[in-house]
Amino acid sequence: MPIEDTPNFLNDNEQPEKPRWIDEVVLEFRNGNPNHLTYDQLQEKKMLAMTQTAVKAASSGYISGHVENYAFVNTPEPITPQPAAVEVPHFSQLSELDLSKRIEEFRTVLLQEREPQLFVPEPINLEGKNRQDFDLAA
Amino acid sequence: MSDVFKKALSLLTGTPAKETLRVPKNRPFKKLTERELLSLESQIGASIFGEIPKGHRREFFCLDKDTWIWHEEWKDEKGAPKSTTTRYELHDNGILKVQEGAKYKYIEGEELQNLRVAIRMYYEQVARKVYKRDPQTGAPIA
Repeated sequence: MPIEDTPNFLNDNEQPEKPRWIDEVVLEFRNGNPNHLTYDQLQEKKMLAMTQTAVKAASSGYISGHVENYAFVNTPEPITPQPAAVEVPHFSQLSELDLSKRIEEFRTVLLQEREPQLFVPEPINLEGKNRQDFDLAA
Repeated sequence: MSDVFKKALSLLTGTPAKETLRVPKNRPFKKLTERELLSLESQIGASIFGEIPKGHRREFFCLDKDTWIWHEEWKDEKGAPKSTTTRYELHDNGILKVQEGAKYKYIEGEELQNLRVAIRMYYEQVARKVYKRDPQTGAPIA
């Protein structure tokens, strides 16, 4: 994805500031890594720049997801994107496994609750009072 | 592609054309399939990371209690389709990031923190919006 196509989360009258690491890191990849940085060095450089950008975005009063979007630009290994919110929400006392178990439990319960109710018709007594419903001659 | 990737993607992309999922409102006995629930969850999961770049398709969801999936599709500068699928396995000793090409590593540092925040945001929103549950207690919301 061209850098120019990355979304602009700023107000219309503000010019987005392109994080410097885009030029540094992406061009490293595009130009064949002329500085001969190792992959780990490139990743470290990028993570540092992303952190700085995220902190700047958070401190400037708007929270957006624009930082992580650059993670997919010409990187050989995708980096887990950064959530739009900076602060950790509630449930910090619960582990990821606890939360995953809850979600799976919610899902299971809902799937069971939403089972369609089976309609079991009353048996038809063809010799009795229901016969007229089926007797075309009647 | 591993079985779990296939399962996850088939659950989400079983139909050739992706349709906007609409939750039935006036049909209380309509059964939602697991795939539909995962799609609903993934719509929320994809929104956690901010606006999705133009031309991207993103999925992020909890596959089961031990597995989270992040899938991304986009086109490169030449218009060629690209995609990546990352699986996160929750282990007692950490979260293992598994990618195609037999890449395995336990995530740490900021990447781990990002995923932890994402899981909590996902849980909170999915509990409220999909399952109508109080995220704190897990009890149904009256």
